[in-house]
Amino acid sequence: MIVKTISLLGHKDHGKSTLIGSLLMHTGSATQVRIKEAEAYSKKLHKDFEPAFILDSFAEEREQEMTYDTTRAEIKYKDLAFAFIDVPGHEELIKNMISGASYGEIAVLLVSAKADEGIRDQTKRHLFIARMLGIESLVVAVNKMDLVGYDKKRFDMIKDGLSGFIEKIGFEKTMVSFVPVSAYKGENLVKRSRFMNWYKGKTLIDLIYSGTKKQSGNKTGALRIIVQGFLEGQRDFAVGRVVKGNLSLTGGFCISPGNLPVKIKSIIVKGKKVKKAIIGENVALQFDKKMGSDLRGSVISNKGDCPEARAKVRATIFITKKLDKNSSIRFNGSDIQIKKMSVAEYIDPTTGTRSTNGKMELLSAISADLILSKQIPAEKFDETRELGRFVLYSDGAFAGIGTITGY
Amino acid sequence: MIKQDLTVLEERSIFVLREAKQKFGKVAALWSMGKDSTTMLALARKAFLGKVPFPVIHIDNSIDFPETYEFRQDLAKKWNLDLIVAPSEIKPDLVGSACCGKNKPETLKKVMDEYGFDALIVSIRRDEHGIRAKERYMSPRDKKFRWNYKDQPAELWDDYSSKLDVGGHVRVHPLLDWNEIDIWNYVKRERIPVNPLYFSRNGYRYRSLGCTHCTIHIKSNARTVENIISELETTKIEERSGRSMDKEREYVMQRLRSLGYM
Amino acid sequence: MVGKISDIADALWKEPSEKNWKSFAATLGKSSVRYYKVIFANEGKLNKMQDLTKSFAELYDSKYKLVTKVPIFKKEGKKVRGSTIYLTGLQVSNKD
Repeated sequence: MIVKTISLLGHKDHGKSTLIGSLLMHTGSATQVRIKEAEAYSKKLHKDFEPAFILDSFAEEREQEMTYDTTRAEIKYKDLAFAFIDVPGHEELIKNMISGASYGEIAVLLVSAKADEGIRDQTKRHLFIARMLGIESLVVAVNKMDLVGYDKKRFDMIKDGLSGFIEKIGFEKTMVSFVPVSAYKGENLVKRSRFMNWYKGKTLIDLIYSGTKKQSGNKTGALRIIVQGFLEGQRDFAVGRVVKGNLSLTGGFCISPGNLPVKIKSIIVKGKKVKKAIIGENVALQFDKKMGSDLRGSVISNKGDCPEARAKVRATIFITKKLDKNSSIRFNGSDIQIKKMSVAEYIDPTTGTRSTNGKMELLSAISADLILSKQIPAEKFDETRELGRFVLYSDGAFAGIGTITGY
Repeated sequence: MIKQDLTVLEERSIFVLREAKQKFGKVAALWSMGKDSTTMLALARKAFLGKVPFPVIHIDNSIDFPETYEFRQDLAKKWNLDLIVAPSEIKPDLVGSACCGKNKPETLKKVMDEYGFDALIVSIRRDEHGIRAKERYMSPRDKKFRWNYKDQPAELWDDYSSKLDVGGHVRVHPLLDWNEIDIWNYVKRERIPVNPLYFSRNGYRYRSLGCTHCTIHIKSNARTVENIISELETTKIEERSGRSMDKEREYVMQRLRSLGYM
Repeated sequence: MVGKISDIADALWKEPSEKNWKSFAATLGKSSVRYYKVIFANEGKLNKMQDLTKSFAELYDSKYKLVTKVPIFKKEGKKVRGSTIYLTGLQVSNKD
């Protein structure tokens, strides 16, 4: 079964646990035993049935003074399983949020429809980061519709309020959908709600399902293999991963930076000699000769189709720590110093507004030209994910993320 | 328990193992002769063209099952493993969880210092315990082996931590995404040898193997790898709730211990 | 024929063959034995499989009363192999 990872964004009280519990129940992913336990627990607390308890009973107790996360809840639907990563609002460090959200293939944003619980700046910032990380598909679930009388006007108000921002930060209109739900009552999650006949779209689970089918990452295209390095003591044997295109032994190859011509004698995948390798596969490549220079972070392509090596790139950068003179980027395993950075635009991640005037602030973004100490085989993030992104370090500590938008 | 795509898991593990070998000078792996760490070795053989290119450490408290020693001896020979046996003393005054909990990490520390390893491959899985949710593929430990789980390095876009504290090391977790059932499916697909103690006798089997002092058996009639897979497919959560709290707690503690959290 | 557990244990000491182990395991399920404890020779240093011949397991009933002792090896020709797999139905115990 293919497991799709989903970043669940949203403020703490907007019903994330209830949503996951409810989805577990309504998709048949939770056992009857689990549901009975949650029922009993709800009764004990003199509450109506609380779906969040299905999830809470997975939670471990405190041991060794460590607070555990809830165990990954996996929701089965049709031929897929969805693993939700809860991206908490305020209490987690931003680097943890970024790390967690980076594994999401699509994002679900949960917003409460209640008048006093609208969307917060922090949540908008998370949405901005999710888009930067490469998440293209977004489902906005407007929750707690039961508490606002299933009122279409509340739903429209939130939808209209968010649509502009979402498009401004780079989501394509066709990749975003809105659905009114009640996680607590199970409305429009898996079955269509009788109380919201005015809503003609798909249920939440179907939107997530079709969203993950749309999400694709790198489009097919020219061959790109990122080299991890040599096999120990063998400078004619490199290991790496095909991140785009397909590899077959025909024709010549080149290595960037340097545009070095190279011949590949054999391809080994998972210990077996093969004639070709496809995207996502880890390969070992035997060259016709020993290589002089270190190849970590280099790119192998078909001859005549090498990505150009560049020391200057234009990038969108989200900053989490002050950048100083000692700042660098980590690009496919190599650390490269930033010699100079000039800001072209300041971007407010809570509004999506860009302006040429401003100040570099933490937890906000810029578009900037970077002059690097070394050439890198860079491409635009939209073209080749792995060659268009980097992690920022300042004084050896994580300082943000960047995506290449131009040169 | 969700079955995942083995090829996807396999590719990710191979990538992580190769990254570890590239990033760190001296790499070693913990090998308990259990199904997880043996699967990890099978993956390493795929990643490094048929041989395991790092030493494997067995923290030996001398009270493992005879079958476990037999398995160690046979596989080390068959796969040509560079085996380091680190004897760990059993202190008579410590029983139960305190027993391995105290002795094993101390022994491991000694071996790590003696050989100067800066990375240690540990075959933990995220589904083993709630605490795993916060784990990373590469996770630094300080010189006292402590894990600062609240303030760990960021990990995204295949960029893993290479941060080393003085005297510390990095734990590498190539099997983090695997579920228990995936391991068994892979054992089946790749015909990976496993310890015979995993299979049922008289209605019981061991689900995870420790030493002869504290390993806990579960009710099971699974006598083959296929049986274990179908057992895991059907029992789901009931398997957990079928055990008494004491046993459940002990089971959790045992796992924690074996993973070096205690 | 199913005999008393201690009789079969005696048989095992005389001849730890796979056949005897299997009939022992069959008896074990119906006996009062619930726990076992392994006592390794050489203070637990198992240097070679041969050392198993000097080690043994103590079998206890539900009240931790010692019932009998059995070997923890079996012989396949001249080869000594572990035999705790036949005890998997019992709970291991380090209770002193």
